[in-house]
Amino acid sequence: MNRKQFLQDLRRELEALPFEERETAVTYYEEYFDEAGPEREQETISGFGTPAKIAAQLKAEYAVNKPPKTPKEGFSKVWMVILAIFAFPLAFPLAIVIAALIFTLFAVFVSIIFAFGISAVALVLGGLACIVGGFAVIAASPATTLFFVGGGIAILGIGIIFAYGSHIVATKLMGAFARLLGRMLSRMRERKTS
Amino acid sequence: MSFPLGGALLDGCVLAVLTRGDTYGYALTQNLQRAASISESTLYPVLRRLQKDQYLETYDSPYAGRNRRYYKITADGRQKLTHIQEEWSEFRETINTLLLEEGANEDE
Repeated sequence: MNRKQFLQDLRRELEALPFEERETAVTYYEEYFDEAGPEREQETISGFGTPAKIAAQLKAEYAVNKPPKTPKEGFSKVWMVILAIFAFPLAFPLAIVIAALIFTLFAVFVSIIFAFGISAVALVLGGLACIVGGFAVIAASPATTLFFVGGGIAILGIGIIFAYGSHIVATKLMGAFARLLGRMLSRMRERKTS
Repeated sequence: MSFPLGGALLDGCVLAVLTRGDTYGYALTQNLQRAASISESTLYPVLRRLQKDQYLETYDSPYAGRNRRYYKITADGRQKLTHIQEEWSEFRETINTLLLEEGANEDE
């Protein structure tokens, strides 16, 4: 691998990061090559390690640095840290334990988010059903209609608040999960290398 | 033999070197490599994080027809360094007692 190839690979590996973050990193490594000079190019590359590994660490750091704004962003940050953890040289049995641990944590986080989401859906549907049901009996008993439509709107409102709340909960939980995994990763890194 | 350098101790060393003058990534790495076994790619994430935490800032300065990005310690950075230095002093004493048995007899 030469310098050009290295920088190209690094840029590609960092594609998931925002433009500025990616270019700052690539510029740093570019400058480093300039300082080391062409005669030390190979030595520098072997000192750096693979672009994939550098990228994995940078993505993990980025993922835990700023809390996500949407559940989707949170999920992609969690994913970045997971990839960084497995870019690490791990003994096979340890890798299995860590994979199982991450999977379990993931299941817990997703279940909590799912519980919130499904409650919101149930409330919204229940509210709508009350409203529709209320109108169905309008001929027989207008008072009943009023009761059900009123109640239905209230339930619908609670459901919408719940939906909004579960959006926030999902974002926060994914952010927390990414940070948790990030701490795990820095522990691993401190033990192994540095 | 050199001991691994990472975490707060590495942060502290980077900040300490920067109190002696602004410098750029390559020079900083060479400087630290004389004392500790860190790889060529160790420093960038550290510098980036310290910059995000506003312990240091960067500026570009032309050199030989290209750019050099210099790192400069901030007031917050100096405060952080003082904190790390205090922690280190405590830690060093603990280790000295354990490892070199300095002052171990006094406790008996």
